[in-house]
Amino acid sequence: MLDATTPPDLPTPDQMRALNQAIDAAWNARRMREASRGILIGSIAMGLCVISTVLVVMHSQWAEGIAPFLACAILFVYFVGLFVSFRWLRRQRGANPVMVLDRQEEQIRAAAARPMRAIPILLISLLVQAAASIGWMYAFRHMSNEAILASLSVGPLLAAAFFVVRFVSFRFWEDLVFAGCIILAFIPMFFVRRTDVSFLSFVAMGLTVVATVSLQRRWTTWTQSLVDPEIETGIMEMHR
Amino acid sequence: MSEPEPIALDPVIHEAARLAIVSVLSECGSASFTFILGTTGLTRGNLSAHAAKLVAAGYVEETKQIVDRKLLTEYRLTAAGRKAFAHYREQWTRLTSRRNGRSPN
Repeated sequence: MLDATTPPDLPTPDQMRALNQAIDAAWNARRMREASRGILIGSIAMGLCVISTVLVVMHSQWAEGIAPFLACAILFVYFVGLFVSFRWLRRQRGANPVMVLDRQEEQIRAAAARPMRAIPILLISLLVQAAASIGWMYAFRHMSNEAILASLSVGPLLAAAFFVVRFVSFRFWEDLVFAGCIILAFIPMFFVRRTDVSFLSFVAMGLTVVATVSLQRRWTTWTQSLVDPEIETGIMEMHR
Repeated sequence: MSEPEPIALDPVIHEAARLAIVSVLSECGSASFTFILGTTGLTRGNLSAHAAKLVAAGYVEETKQIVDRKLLTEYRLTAAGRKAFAHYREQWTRLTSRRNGRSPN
């Protein structure tokens, strides 16, 4: 029990103001850090949409005969887009005086300086993936179509949940769009034998591109405002 | 009954501007001068002065490099800085808990 004659150590109004400003600064930093990786996050969402689209195309009746070529074309366009966008991102980061890396990227940067240490990790992950592929090849032969569809659905559901958690953490509406697009791209798989709604997968890919550009623009606009203080929209972008 | 342990807020971190800088750096692996400027809202002179104090205290590491003939300054929290900030937050929680009368510790 506290002694009533001893004055308690109360935080002063100035201390509370400083604390609130620090909390705001940390929140801004967290948000802008994520916005700086807009292209990376969008690429992950697009990759998941592409996987679902390829599955839909491979099972669609209208693509009979051309499905493998169309699937290859989709994958080719995705990887070319990935390469071009990452090159652009790297050039942007090099030219931009405003820079932030999160702790994982710092660790990756440090690990890249010691490539020999990454080899055992790469070998283990390759072995795990090979074992998983062999396991799934065996399992698919003995599973019903419904069971296969259910197991394939787990991936998009988990990915969508990941983006919903990101939305809750960082309050970017683009993350909700990513979550929606991942589900939308997979939905045609449920109707593939009955009706053709495969266009939904392509719509999902288009929307993912829009959301990625929007997310990256937050960062670009904000950093431009720091370099050129007359652009006030950057401040609004931070709080949007 | 034993006296509660006195609350000691680290004076290096406790200053408003330095608390904001350390809070921003705790969210990042590393950040440039301009990034910290934009997120904290401090002026350039203020940020330079307080960052220098944090560097002198060993809480922040400063790296300068020339990129495209421009000086780029990067800051990151050191292990000591992260530990000190975690301790500061713990002490602050104790302080506010004591104010609310929940627990003397």
